[in-house]
Amino acid sequence: MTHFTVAASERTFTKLFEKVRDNVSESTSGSHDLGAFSVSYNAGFHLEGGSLNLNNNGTVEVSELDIVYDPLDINFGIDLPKICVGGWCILPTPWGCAIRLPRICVFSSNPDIILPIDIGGLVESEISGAFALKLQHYVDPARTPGMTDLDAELAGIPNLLRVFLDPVWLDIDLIDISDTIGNILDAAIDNVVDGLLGWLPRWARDLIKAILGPIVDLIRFILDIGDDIDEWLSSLLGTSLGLLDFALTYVADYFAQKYPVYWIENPYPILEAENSLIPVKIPLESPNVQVNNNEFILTCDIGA
Amino acid sequence: MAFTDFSDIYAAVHENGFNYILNHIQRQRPSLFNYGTQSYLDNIELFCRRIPTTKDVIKNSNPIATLEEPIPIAGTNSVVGLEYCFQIVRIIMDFHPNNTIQLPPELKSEYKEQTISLALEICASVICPDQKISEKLGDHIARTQKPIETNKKEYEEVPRPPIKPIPGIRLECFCLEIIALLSFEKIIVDGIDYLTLRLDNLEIVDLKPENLENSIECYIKTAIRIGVLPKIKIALRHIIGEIDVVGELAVELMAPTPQITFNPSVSNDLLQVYVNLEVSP
Repeated sequence: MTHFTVAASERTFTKLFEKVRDNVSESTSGSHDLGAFSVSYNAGFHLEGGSLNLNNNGTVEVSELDIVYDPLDINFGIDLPKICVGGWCILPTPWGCAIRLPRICVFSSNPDIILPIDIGGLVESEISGAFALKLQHYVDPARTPGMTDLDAELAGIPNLLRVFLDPVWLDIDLIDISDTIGNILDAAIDNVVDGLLGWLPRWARDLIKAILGPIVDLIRFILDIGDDIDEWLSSLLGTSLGLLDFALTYVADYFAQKYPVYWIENPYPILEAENSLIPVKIPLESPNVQVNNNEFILTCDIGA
Repeated sequence: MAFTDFSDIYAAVHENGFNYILNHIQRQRPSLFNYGTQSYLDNIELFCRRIPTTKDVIKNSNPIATLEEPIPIAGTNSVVGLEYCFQIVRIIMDFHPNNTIQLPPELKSEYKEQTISLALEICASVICPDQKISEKLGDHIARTQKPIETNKKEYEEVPRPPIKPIPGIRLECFCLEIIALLSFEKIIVDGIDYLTLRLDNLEIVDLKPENLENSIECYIKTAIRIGVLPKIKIALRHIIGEIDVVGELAVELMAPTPQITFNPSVSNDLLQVYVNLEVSP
């Protein structure tokens, strides 16, 4: 007969899971050269929602766990074709040009414009998956070989039995892109164009816009936005920037290695330290964890 | 049927495991089980039985026995006393149903569901002064000590000096087998639920005459109730492990229900607790 059994109902296990979920928060940044344009980004995400089911096959199933990207700042670096206007003679004389319009060139840098968009909180993806329970005997790296279990306890680095959720399978989808993102993108393009050409004299600005046609459309063309902004953003975040893979990998590692859903000190302090008396610690042996569709169960023996 | 059909958390400890826990407490907190006067603490070999301890107890300078005052000698106004030691050397629990400890007839009639049988072996000895020292001390007291004051007020105002031990030789130890009936109960200390043990009754095996047995039983019952059990209280959260579910939820022992009539429950050789997570207001 097992010496010690503790069981947590599905409701309780869900609370434990929610605590793990609410601690997930990570950020990343990077940049990519995508040929026609470059992109740099600063992204963070956290988890929300989701539902949990314990299964008789020993797995914990998580559905519709939302990944909310916030912040999500993306800067597009766009290289526009160089355009020069002016330089024409407006008052020719037999001896040459008396008055010449100034020659003005724009878009001679690379990139010519940096187009920042802030879409934090407007993009969500969703993770679903199944996890197996993984039991780990954890020894804190700060524990030195000469330390007894009590030394480790007093130093605040006791050994732990930790239960992690080890992914069996995980799936991630970009599921929600706010409708306002198209407008935010267009406004950002307008803003940056006005800022970029604002220093030019009116005639030159009109001329450049006339040459380029609707510059907003040009930028959208360079960015390859097309008609379906959701598809474009999905491809950008997922394929080009690898954000979805990053989130998926991070979440999988987090549940599998970083944050246990349950832990217990081993040896376990059954009586607390009192005045100068040391705590009474009992060794837990042959631990085992399992789930069924009702509950999570941990069993172990108490060492002699 | 699931463990948690009627509660959020369920925890159980089998009596075999609990006996291992007691054994660990005995070795890691030996001062709960061993008592002696100064000479015993100064010379540990005087104790009746070797005191098992862990290295951590010694390393952390924890006492291996609790220091006691000598037993005052009647008629000396508690000026001198006999040194002694008292040890609980073996302790075994048998959760309901009773199947490992042989109960004496006196306790069988009191045994009911939810009861824990406890078998103890205690040993004790005194350091007995030899006749010459006793006589010398008697002469000295006769020459120097004032008549015993009976005025209560005066007695209260004068602090009593420590009882001086009379040197002598340790007598052979005696050991007694004790069978007791216990039950678990919940107490709340500073808002935290603890499980503690209550001594319902005990019997010393094979001690005569009966009145001597009753008197010694009375002493041992009182010592266990006042001196030992209050120090063995286990926080409920220590039984269920680190179910750490953030601040808004409190861990509480579930009130008995028609399905769970006892909580904590001692049955099927198990100590079982049913715990609910309550949302704090």
